Amino acid sequence: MPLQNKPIDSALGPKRAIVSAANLSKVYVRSNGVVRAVEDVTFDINPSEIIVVVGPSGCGKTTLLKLLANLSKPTSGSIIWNGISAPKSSFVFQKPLLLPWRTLEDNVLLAFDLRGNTSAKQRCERARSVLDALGLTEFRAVYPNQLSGGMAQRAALARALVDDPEIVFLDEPLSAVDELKRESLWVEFRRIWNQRNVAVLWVTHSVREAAFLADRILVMSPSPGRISHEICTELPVTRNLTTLFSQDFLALTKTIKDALQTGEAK
Amino acid sequence: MHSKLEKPNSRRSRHLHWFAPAATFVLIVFTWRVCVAVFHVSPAILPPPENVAFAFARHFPALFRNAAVTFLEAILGFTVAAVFALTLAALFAFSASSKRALYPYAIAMKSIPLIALAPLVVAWFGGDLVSKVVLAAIISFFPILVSASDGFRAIDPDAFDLFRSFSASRRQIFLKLQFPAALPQIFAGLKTASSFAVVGAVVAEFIGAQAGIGLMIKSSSYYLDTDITFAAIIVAATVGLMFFGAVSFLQRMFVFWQPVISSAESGIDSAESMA
Repeated sequence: MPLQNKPIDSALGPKRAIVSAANLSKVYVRSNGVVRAVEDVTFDINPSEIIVVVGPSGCGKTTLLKLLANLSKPTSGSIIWNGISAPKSSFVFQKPLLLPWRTLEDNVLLAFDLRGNTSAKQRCERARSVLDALGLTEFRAVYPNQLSGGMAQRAALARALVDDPEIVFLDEPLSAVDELKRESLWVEFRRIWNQRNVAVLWVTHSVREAAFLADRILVMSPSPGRISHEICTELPVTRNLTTLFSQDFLALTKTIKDALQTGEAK
Repeated sequence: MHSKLEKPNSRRSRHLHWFAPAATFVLIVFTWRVCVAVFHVSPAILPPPENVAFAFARHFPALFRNAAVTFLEAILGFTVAAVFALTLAALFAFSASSKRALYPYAIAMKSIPLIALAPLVVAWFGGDLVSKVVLAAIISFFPILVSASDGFRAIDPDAFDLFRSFSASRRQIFLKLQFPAALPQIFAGLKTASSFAVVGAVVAEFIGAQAGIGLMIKSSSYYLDTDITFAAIIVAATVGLMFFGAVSFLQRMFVFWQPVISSAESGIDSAESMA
């Protein structure tokens, strides 16, 4: 398994990146001192690529995600978009954040309600397609308080995918889902990404989650939050639950753990 | 699909829901009657319950007519208060500086006793409907303002980020997130205000009025018709209760996603869990 220390100039990859982070830093000034949440982070997100950022709690993963999603401003460095404006993106949070006064279908259609410019017919088609893909069609008229945790998180994913974003940012979306359910959702999410040609930036502290989902893994070290290692996976594009028991998967998890340990030791 | 919401132990809790207040009522009336008999209390000080019941039956048309006047004053005052308080709370949600400028004065006004304002308001607006509506509005205004203002602010920061990630405008964030999310708190304030509005109208009627339950209480107590005073007080309380019930009904309609657990039911649940 290739394990590389990430050089800054590797940001210029062979594909044309849809988003590039260049020397990105974020500093918070608190009453008890300065916190360097993210420091000098440089990497590209290529079209249809699944990147997982893995690191210990509090290492700046969520800050990095919010910087790239344009929900927070960097202290220094820049974010470069491949286009005139920011790519169409969506965000999935740790909590599903479904609006309790809207049915599941209306929650999924939130992006259309806010971004507008879509006909009623188009909205219906898109909602049907995404609900179908996530196995939520029969629950379309149900309110969020009647959904289980896993189903609510799938609805949050459907909401993120409904208007065909170029990139989806996910902040530990399965942290509240139990282990068994989580693994089946990994398979489902991976299948959906493969079908939809959407770039994904997924943040997690779970080594197994990172190994299963990613095409490329960025390992973050804490204090200050830096990308210490970049790992490209050699797992097959199509993955299922048996992948979790393969030699390649086990080797990959070991590589990530080693990278995390060396990152923390630095 | 399995619903996560557990239905309450329906028939038993429905019976208990009505039984508990009914039993309390019987106990109060019984204690009242026993006290009057044992201590030989004069009917001018504390009439026995049956005298109050007779007064209620004898003066029902007058009580009903005056209650209708008080109810109208209360509902108009409540509506005026709701419109102004929600508008001001929305302004506070959009502009932190307007909140900083106005909120301290709103709280300071809240501290002024209504009874101190009532003579002034009656002097300014006269003894007719307007002064009653104004006083009912003043007393109802603050609970709605405070609860709505807190409700608009108490939003999960991630929910704001979710809307921003979909490029939502400030107006969209308010109308599609803050306002509906604040509805439970807004209704909590409206329920408190509904009872206050009746109090405001009755107090205003004490100062100067042509009709109303407050006037009836004042005149009957002046002539020591204590049984009528008691009947009028019970009617005033009933008007407040009906108003509260109407707002609670609207709450169940508009805040349908929030399970309504009555205090009686929650008490039963905790008693059962302890057993």
